[in-house]
Amino acid sequence: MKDPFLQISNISKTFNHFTALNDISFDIYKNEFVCLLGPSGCGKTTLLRIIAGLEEADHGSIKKNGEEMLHLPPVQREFGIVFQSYALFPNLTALQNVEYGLKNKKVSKAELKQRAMEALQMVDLEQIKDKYPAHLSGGQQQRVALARAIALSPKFLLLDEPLSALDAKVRKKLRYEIKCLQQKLGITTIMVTHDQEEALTMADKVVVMNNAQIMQVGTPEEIYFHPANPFVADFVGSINIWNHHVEGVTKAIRPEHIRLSKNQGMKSEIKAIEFRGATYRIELEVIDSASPLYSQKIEVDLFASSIQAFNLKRGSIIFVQFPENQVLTYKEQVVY
Amino acid sequence: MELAKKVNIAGRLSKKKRAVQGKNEQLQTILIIFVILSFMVSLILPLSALFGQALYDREGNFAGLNNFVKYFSTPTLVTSLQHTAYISVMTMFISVGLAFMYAYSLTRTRMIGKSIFRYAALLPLFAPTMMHGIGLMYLFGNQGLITSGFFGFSPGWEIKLYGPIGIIIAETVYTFPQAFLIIYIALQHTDYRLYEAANTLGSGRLKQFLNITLPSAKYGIITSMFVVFTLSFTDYGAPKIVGGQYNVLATDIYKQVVGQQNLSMGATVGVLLMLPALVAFFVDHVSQKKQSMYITSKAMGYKIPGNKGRDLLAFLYCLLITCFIMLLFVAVGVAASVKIWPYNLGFTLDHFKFSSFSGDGLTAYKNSLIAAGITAFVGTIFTFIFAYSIEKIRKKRFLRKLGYLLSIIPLSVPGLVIGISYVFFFSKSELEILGLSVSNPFHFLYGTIAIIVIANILHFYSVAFVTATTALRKLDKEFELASESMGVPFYKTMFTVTIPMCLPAILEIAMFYFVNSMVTISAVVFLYSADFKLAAISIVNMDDAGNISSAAAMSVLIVLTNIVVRLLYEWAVLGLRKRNAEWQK
Repeated sequence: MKDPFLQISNISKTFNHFTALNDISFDIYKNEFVCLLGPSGCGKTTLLRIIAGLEEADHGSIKKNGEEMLHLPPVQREFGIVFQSYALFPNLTALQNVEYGLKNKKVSKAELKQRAMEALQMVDLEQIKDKYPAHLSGGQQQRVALARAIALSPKFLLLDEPLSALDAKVRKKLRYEIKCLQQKLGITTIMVTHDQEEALTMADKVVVMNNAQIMQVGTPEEIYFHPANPFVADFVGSINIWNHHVEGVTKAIRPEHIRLSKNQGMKSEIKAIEFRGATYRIELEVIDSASPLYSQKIEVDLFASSIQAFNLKRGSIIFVQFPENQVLTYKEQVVY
Repeated sequence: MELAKKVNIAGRLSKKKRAVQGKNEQLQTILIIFVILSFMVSLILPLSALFGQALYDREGNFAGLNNFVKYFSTPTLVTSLQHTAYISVMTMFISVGLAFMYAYSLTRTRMIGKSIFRYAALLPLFAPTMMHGIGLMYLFGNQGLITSGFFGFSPGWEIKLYGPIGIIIAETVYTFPQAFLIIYIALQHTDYRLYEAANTLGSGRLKQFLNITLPSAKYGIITSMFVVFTLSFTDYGAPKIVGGQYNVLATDIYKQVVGQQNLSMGATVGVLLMLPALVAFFVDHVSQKKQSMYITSKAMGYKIPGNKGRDLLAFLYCLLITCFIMLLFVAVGVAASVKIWPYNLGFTLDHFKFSSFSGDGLTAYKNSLIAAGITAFVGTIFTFIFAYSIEKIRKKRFLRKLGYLLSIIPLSVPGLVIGISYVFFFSKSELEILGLSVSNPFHFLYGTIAIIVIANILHFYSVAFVTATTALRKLDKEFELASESMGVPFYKTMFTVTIPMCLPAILEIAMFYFVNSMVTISAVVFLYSADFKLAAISIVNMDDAGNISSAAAMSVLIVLTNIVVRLLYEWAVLGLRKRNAEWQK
């Protein structure tokens, strides 16, 4: 295996008795797109700021290409950063914003302009170069911020919830564009997000965090199909989760993995049917008193065709089956 | 390949960048330490000198609290304290009551002439408090316009101006704009959704006023009450002119220090003068926290329902107040430009030559312009740099917090206390520190313009600081981080982004320093030197000498200057707005 590009080991950070990060370790490889995913307050932004050098870790180490980086000031870590608020300078045009960092690099005026224009072209915005941020849409502002970050040819890119201030449609489009740009430049990228869909669609590697700790590190598929613990299972996607009192474990299954049957499985009653466009979400209550799930609520995702096939309505009685290989089992008991 | 080459360039530059970064951090550390040291010299040490002085007797022996005991067992001094408290309480109720109705009329009715009324309410800010007293003399004094019933055309009305009544009226005029501004802002910040909810629930107007309007303006009202109390508690100018034989603390402290050279008792009175301001400081701190809980970002502005009767009533009320303020100013204007009031009412500009006075009339005015100009220029630069250091530097969290605290404290130090504590600290050529005698490195400032400028800056610093901080906080806090990540030194970003964005606030601060430096007397009355007299002080001196029309003329000059400066400011802001329109929304 190649050596990691960034090696994050045993990073801890406390703010006045509040533990923001507790012994965080993971590796990031060259050209990887890594998402730090977790609920608000889990420490993901603090970790990003420590990587950037905007915050100091209590202890631990971050090595870049095998060299310790923690003592370096931000500028020597050679990253570009895009903030949630974009942080574009309002009194400078798009082009001036992109040139801003280059100006300090003692490059010739011609090269400066050329590199700034190249960066703007990368995000497909050369036509708005003379506009001020106030006259750009949120998506355009974000792309200018991105151009500004890559114009300095950084070794890696930090994105702090770059899409959360945008509306849903623009967000989806930019998600794709950022990913394309990252692949085109082949630049190692670390993005913080609380949006699991963003993490699953964009990342090569997802680092799921909760309560200052890493919950799981893996590819989006690993995270989704093989969540390492009930937290990840619950946080990423929808899931039915219950304590199996007989076996003393926690079990879980995703709503789309549950099968319906007219006569085999756990007898259940339909409590609610929610239309979601391409699918329906059905809420069932198990009424089979022999089942360990008796009187519990279960969510099932179905296509419209199944609804019609089973002629489902509120109050219908139906049988559900959990395919063995789709049921997740965890040792820890999750208390509800 | 192309990218790799660029990365290489960046790599080669990294050594140079390391040096820049090191310099940046050093510079920031120096800045923040400079902030703290400035407060040490201009605030902490002088105040310590004052408190220290209050603990020693006239002969320099340690007296503990004996000075205070002596103070409270001296009947004349205790009477002054009672007088001052009486004046302040009365002024507080009258001024805040009037200001509340005025602000309510401006924010909650549809009367016409709102912007004229708003400017009229602020007019007293442009004048020294002595001028309100002088205006009152010409209206209600022994030969005043109203006392004599417009020179006998109508029955006269004698109000016994010289004494508590005159002081209270003058203080009310003086404090009215401040109370008005605070309450006006409080009333503007309301959530109309509360009124909509009340309307759907069917509660009446009176109930809405009592249950929504008053509670949401409550903290503004409380704050304004403390501000007004403190201002009138510590004002020197008005009691000096219309106080007559009625002694108050502010005139006492002057007599103790300058008249009797009793520095210990002066210091004792100084400590007493600070008490209400200290209380106000904490009340304000608490009320600001609570006020901010009231309003969310989703709040809607107030929509004024139509009501002709209410509008007319509000209009008449505001007209009355405005007319009174105008009358006062006009009276001073007339006093300054008639030959001999009330015997020869012919027009003259002779009083503006200040020839009958010892001659430093116009010089004093020129000195005031110089002092106010320097205060505005230097004060604005310092205030902005201080606010920037405290707000935008990322490290040195403890020092920045300390800097913030030190920046707010001057708010509770009355001008007289600043003046007298500067006398105690800067006049000494030797300082006693833990029994050791050290020569005072700041002694050379004593008796120069510099000390007047420093006292003025400190006196008005807190409000200017808050203005600067508010403007800085409106900027994205990540500007500095973004430029840091790009390797741009913070001062470059300060000049290319922060200062241009904050220019309106910077102009406001400069205007604020200038106007206040022109009108203030409290701090500088202890600090001016014989060869550098100020306009505000010459007003008092001319009044003392019985040369009231010259005092009035000087007041008019000050007011006109301030109005011109204010207009210049408005014009500059307008121009700025036009110029920046392209990058503003």
